[in-house]
Amino acid sequence: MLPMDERDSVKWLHRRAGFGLPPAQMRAAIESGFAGELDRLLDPSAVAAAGAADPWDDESLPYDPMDAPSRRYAIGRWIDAMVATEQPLVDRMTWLWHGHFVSAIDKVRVARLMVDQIRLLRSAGLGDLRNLVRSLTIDAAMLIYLDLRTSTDEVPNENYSRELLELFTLGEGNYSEDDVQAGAAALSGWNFDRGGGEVVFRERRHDDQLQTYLGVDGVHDLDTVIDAVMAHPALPTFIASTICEELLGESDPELVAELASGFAASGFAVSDLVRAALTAGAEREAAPLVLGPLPWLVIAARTTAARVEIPQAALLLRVAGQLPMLPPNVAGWPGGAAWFNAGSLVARANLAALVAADATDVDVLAAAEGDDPAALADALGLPSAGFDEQSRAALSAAPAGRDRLAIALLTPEFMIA
Amino acid sequence: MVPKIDRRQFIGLSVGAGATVAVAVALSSGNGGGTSAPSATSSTAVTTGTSTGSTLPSATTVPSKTSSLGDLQFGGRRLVVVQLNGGNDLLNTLPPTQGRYHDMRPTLALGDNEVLSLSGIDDAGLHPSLAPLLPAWDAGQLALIRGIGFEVPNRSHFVSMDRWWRADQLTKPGWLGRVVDGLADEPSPLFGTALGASAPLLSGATRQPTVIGSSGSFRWVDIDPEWIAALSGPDDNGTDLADQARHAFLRTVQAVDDFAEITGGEPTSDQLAGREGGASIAGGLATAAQLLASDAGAQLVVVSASGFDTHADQLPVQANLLTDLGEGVATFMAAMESAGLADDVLLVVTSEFGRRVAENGSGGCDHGAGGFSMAIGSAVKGGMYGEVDLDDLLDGDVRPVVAPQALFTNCLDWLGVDAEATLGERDDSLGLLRTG
Repeated sequence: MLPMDERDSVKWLHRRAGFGLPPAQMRAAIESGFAGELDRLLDPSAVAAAGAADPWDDESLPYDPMDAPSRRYAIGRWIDAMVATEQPLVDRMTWLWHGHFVSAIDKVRVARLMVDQIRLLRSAGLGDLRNLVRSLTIDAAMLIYLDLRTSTDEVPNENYSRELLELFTLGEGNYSEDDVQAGAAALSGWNFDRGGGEVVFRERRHDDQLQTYLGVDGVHDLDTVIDAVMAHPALPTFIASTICEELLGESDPELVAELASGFAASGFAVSDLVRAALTAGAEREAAPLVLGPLPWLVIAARTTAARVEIPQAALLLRVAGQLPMLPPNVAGWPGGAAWFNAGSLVARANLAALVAADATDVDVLAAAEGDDPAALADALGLPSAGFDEQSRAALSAAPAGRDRLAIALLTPEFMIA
Repeated sequence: MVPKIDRRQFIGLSVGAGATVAVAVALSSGNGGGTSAPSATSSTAVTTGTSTGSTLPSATTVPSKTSSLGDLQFGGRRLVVVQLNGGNDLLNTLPPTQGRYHDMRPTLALGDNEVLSLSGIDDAGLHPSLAPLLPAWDAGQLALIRGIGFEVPNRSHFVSMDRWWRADQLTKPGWLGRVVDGLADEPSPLFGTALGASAPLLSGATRQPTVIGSSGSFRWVDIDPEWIAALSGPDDNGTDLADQARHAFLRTVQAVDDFAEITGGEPTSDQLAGREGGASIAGGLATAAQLLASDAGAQLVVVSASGFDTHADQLPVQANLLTDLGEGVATFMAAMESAGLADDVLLVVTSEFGRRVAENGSGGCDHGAGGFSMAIGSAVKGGMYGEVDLDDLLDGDVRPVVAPQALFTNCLDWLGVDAEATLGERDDSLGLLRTG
């Protein structure tokens, strides 16, 4: 198989690094070409504007752990915002980081604090990784989710200290149990104000002894911990590998090594890493990437201009196993063929019917009425190879129109980007 | 066109309710490879307190359905694994009578008057929330295991879970998934079912379990399964992701059909997961009981529940979770009894690790090493296994003295599957099954 042609690379870019586009916008994107679209997606002023445009109204987000409606609101608004986004790369990266720097609303409880964490990912997720990791370490939702707020000089809590190294920055095998304990001590004393969410540092509860941490002597507080993490030789590879897997669907060691050295040389600018990964990806044979239920739903809704009904969509996403803000554990969502389990597929089929019923894009609906599978594939933003023979047979078996559209959203071609 | 899938097309024989036991006997030579399955010798009724007293299969609880002798593996035996995700605290589950327990847990140690005593055991008791399990203990059908874990422990949830799921061979599929991979024919879609969450333990290299997060949602809404069936693909699982998706659709259509028939068809959204973020153990086991008593070929069921990662507020949190576990297991065993399956089911409970002996400053305990497991069933040789010695800790943790592989060996023996071939080597150090 050859590398993608220009048309297909633009479609690939928007399905991987964005959330897809309806046909008219996709045509315009193809006009501007891969390089032009990549520049547009990564344009710093647009990124800044997207970070500033906020989907949530704080009035609906009281600092109240008992307030269940605010949790539904926080999740629903986020799904809506991803579907409607004008700056899809920002929201796609926010989603990516949410599955990496995990917190979950079932433990955090206060929806406002989860929202504030997502806001942080939206505004800082393409910037300097050091700033992102430092900010997340003392983010109120994270302080709750991984228990760092309970860590004191007397009784350090290791939960955050461990996951910071294992899952967030270095990976298993690149640190010792002693590092976990030293990190817990050096990060002790951080908490937040329950009434307003402001982060506070309580010196009395902080263990300021000098520790040896990741081979660095004299580590004793937040900044020295973050410095030692950022200086660790495993970090660039670990982060580059994460980005490759999530965006390209592969982590070829040679490619990862090349991206990692560029990432380190850039001073850990995430936008540079993303640009390099996507540029490299477009020049390679595309590796298949199974879209999880959430990115799949958002792509389906955007592509068909469907305004999905949030209560139902959120319920079905939960059943499908990928409700935003509710990852199964601190490792985030497992990916790949694990999404092809019966329970998730049933919910996904039900979501496909929901999206198809709400689709409004005239090009998509016309293609779903017609009998030309190549036209339908193109309207749905799929690469020029279109649907294979069996998918075409399944499409013609379903009644023309919205039923056929629902089946099209469930074809392997649409579910695997 | 792909024909509509209808399991009943494949099923010829009709046998009455309760015939499963006879089926089990008829097939007991099964597919054992070098290990003969221990025969379930118990004739004692499980006195769980919720049983109606009758040991006859009840026509009202056993679905009157068709079945096929050829559908059953393992001589009809079933295995249920309950996963307590997060790392259930061993010490408060089976509180030791050693004085050091109170010294190291000044606010978390359960009082002597709260702890339930276990007849015949003087160095530990039982968490009061597990009272529903006492009748099984007294009937000699409950094995409680202290200090289970890998000799060189890892305190990460994910590493530890992975080691449990893959029997400490991290490049291999789940240890039950290997069993499913090894079956000559692809089993029915509900043969291996994960309830509550996905279960890598059941994931093979080529065969995946059916994952049902909540029973009320496992049905088609506004989409015709015939159209889905038209998408579905060949009967073998390739490595190509698109082929895997097609094959998964085929089995999904069949699984939904079977599941609706078994659970009564019209579930409502009320049956959705009870806990925010996770399903309850009791709910999962109630569904497991329906599946196992059906003729859909469900034989391996994993029920997952989260919430056991009690870094904070452990006392009330663990009490609620263990209530869910104790009541769920007792009700499940009673259902198996009334379905005539008491001698065909082994249920084991696992968790990725125990928790630190000393409590932390948040009313909880951090990740530890030696943990808690249990096994229940008429084939189980009841009693206390393993040990806790608070004067001989491993870096502040209960020392792991029982290898998980020993529990897996017993589970595989129960199924009549070659444990050595599945795990690489047998571990006969636990021996919690009755033999002969």
